[in-house]
Amino acid sequence: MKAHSAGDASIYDLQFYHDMINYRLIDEEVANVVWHKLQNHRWYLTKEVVPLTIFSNIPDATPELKQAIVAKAHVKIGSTVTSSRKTHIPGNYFSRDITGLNWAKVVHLVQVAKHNSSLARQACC
Amino acid sequence: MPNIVALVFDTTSSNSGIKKGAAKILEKKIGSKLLHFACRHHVLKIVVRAVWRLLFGDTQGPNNSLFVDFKLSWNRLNKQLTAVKTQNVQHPWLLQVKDRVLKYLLSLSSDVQFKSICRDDHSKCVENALIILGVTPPNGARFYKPGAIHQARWRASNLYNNTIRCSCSQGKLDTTVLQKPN
Repeated sequence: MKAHSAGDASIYDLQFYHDMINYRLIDEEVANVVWHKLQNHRWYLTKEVVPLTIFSNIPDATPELKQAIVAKAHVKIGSTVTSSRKTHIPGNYFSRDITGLNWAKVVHLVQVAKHNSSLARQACC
Repeated sequence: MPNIVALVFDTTSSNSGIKKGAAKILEKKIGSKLLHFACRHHVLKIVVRAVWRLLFGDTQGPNNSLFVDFKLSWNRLNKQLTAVKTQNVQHPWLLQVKDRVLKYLLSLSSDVQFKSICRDDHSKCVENALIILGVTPPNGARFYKPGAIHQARWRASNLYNNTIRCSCSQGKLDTTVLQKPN
């Protein structure tokens, strides 16, 4: 009913995920169908949208949660890693076969990301 | 142009496509990155439709046959609150959820801001959900005659599901329509 509220959307999405985990004990089939659909649309919950939670007034958006989001956002603002957002991710993206993945390249990318992150922290300090 | 900072859009691929999606094209034309805020209504619509398919199977044609039958039998139904079958909840976790949902729906009923922007369909959904959970809505319990039942109106699934659920004790609903047995 309040899906139009950008500030509350992330909290409600997360709550929906948690509810479906619990609902598996009651009706596993329905819960799995819902879970699968939510997984396919998980990418809409982007890192740009989540920080809007700090403007939410619902009880679940506690001051501690907002502080944690702001703290994370500070690190991101100083980061030199530019966002390369994809606007479309195929439905099977999260269940794809990774046997042929180039692990050397993945490790290299992780190392670069870590290095940039540490540089960003130093810049913030 | 510089005042445009975000895009809210239906999650169909013609909007969100990586190369030729409307969001991408607009970003290119404006020349700056925009916040992509996908419409939650459309994400949740897909969830509701998936559950509907699991329970009732695929629907053929533009209209939902169950809703067509419901619309035809509307005048014969007893719309009094005493004839309504409410949802009996026993599971401890579901009782918690019920309390949370009731609290939320009742707060919506008295929310002036919500009333000012909500459509009739939304307020009808809130009222129906309250009735199913055994609570009389603040403005009184009433049922609304079915209107448009085509599949493009996704709110119809929520509205008429609940109304059919309320009237199912009157023995009009054939249980064989259910694909997934309880």
